[in-house]
Amino acid sequence: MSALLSVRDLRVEFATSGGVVTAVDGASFEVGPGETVALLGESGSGKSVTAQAVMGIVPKPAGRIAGGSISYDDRDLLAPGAAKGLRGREIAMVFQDPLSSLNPVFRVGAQIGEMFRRHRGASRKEARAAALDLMKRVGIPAASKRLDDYPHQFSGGMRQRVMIAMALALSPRLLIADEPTTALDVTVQAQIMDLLTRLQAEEGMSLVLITHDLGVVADVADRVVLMYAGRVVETGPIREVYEHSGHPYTAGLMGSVPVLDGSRDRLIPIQGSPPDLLSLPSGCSFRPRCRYADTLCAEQEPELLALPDRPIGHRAACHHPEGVLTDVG
Amino acid sequence: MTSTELDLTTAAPVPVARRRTRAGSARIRFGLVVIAVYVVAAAVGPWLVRYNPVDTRTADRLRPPFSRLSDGSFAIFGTDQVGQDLFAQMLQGARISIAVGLATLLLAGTIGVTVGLSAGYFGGWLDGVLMRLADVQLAFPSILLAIFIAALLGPSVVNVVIVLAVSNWVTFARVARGQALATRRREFVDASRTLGAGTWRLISRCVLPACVAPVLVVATVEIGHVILAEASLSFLGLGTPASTPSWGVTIANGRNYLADAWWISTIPGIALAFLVVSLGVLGDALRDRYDPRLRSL
Repeated sequence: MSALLSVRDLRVEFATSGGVVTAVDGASFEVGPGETVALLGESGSGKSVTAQAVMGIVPKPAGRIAGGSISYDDRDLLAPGAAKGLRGREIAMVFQDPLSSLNPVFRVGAQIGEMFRRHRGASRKEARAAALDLMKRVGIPAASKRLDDYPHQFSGGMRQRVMIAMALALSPRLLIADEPTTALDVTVQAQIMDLLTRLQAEEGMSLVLITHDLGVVADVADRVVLMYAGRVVETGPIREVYEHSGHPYTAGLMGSVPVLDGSRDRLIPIQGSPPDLLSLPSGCSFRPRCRYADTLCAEQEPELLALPDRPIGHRAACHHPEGVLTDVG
Repeated sequence: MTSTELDLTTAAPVPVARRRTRAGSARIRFGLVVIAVYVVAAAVGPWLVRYNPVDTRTADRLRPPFSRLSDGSFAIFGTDQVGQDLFAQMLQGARISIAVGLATLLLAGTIGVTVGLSAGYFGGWLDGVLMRLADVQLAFPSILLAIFIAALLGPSVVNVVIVLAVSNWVTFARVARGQALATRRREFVDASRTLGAGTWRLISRCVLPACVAPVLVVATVEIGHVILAEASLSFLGLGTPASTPSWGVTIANGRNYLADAWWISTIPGIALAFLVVSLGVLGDALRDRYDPRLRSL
């Protein structure tokens, strides 16, 4: 299966007053056609910056792509001007906060319709009709009445539906959703996730779900890419990674998730605090919080390697995956 | 101590539905009414009261306000040194002053918003060059600059508009730049970009709409300054020519007769001051209402 989106050794740097921060440090992953990939990680792990790099919206002038490649359908997305024709038509993005990602001064019908007017040359009337269809498709009640409302008149969940409608207007082949449910109520979260998976199935598009919530993606994603301090620490089929974690960070995350049936007495937190990207430890950046750490971890940065005796595609960046696997299993 | 508790609850009833008036409603209404009167007078007045700039009636010269002229007409504001009815002259002047003010704002606003948006949106060296230019311009007293350019171009209504636009665009540029800087990193701009919007569309659909309200507020404050500056230029003989008697020209004409005929300079002066103050009040009230930084006060 040839990949639709392929990110190789991506490095993104930000110039800050304290020095240069490498927000993404050599991240590589692939997204196949029709596949759902979850990009997991805590705040500051570089997952959103990776998405920004793919969309070409890394904040300038502070941020810059310092190395690596991003190719979409065998086209180099980092080449000047390459992304322009693809954005909106082939690749689209849904943001975390649906209120701030909608233009406050235009009616939602006009904003959705503009996608058709701009890219398809539709007339005002055609665009309006198409916008109405889309709003019905994403499940906005009384869509014909709400067409002329402004974004602030919608509830959070409805705004996110509007944003999804805009992103899906031109039937893109790849949708990147950057924490699409984080700003929403729990019940609305489930509705939006259902909507996204339903639309993905209908359209046959690839979906990259960026989140810090393990539960949100558990039933939805095919594969998972875990990031820590700008690096990919583990990747593989989601059930495999969840049940047979090969990296102590993943294992730690799994141990800190509450279980509904109460079979777990106490949650086991990950010791220590998230890394300071300005002064990362030598070698493995998870080392200070890791109970498997030894001198090798301090000297050498682990590479993302296939795990022994595990299915193909399950890889982890750890010097001691055997110990982790044994303890988890 | 239950009695005091009871007292407390009864003595301080929470005003459930206190009527809230929005900031500065009265001032906005006052400003709008005064300006409307001036605009109507300027638009309709010269048709009702004829004014001919080359008409001279020596028999009626320097008549005080409320006097009857030799042809039986009534001069409510008196006459000037060549027997012209001051009221007719002022209506004509209102037309010129307001027209010059609006035209100047349009020109200065277009230049300023264009410069400010480019500087704020693109940033970098363009921002540096344009804003240093604005700083240099601000370092000169604007009336001095206006006098200098007016002396070069010569007096005419069009030149006055150009001169005043050149000395007023900076304010618009600064406001537009500030809005562009604040808006361009907003998430919906990124969202529009990810959905395929180009630079031009981002500026016209995302950044420009955010500038409209603050630029209108600035325009209201500035129009008072512009009308005053036009009058100053005309007073100095560098503004509109004598055949188009703006208020500045009329005030200048009366300067030599202040001892004998105070009304020639005084009445247009009061009219001018009242308009400028009303515009200032309106501008301040609009800023109080729409400037988000003042909203918490």
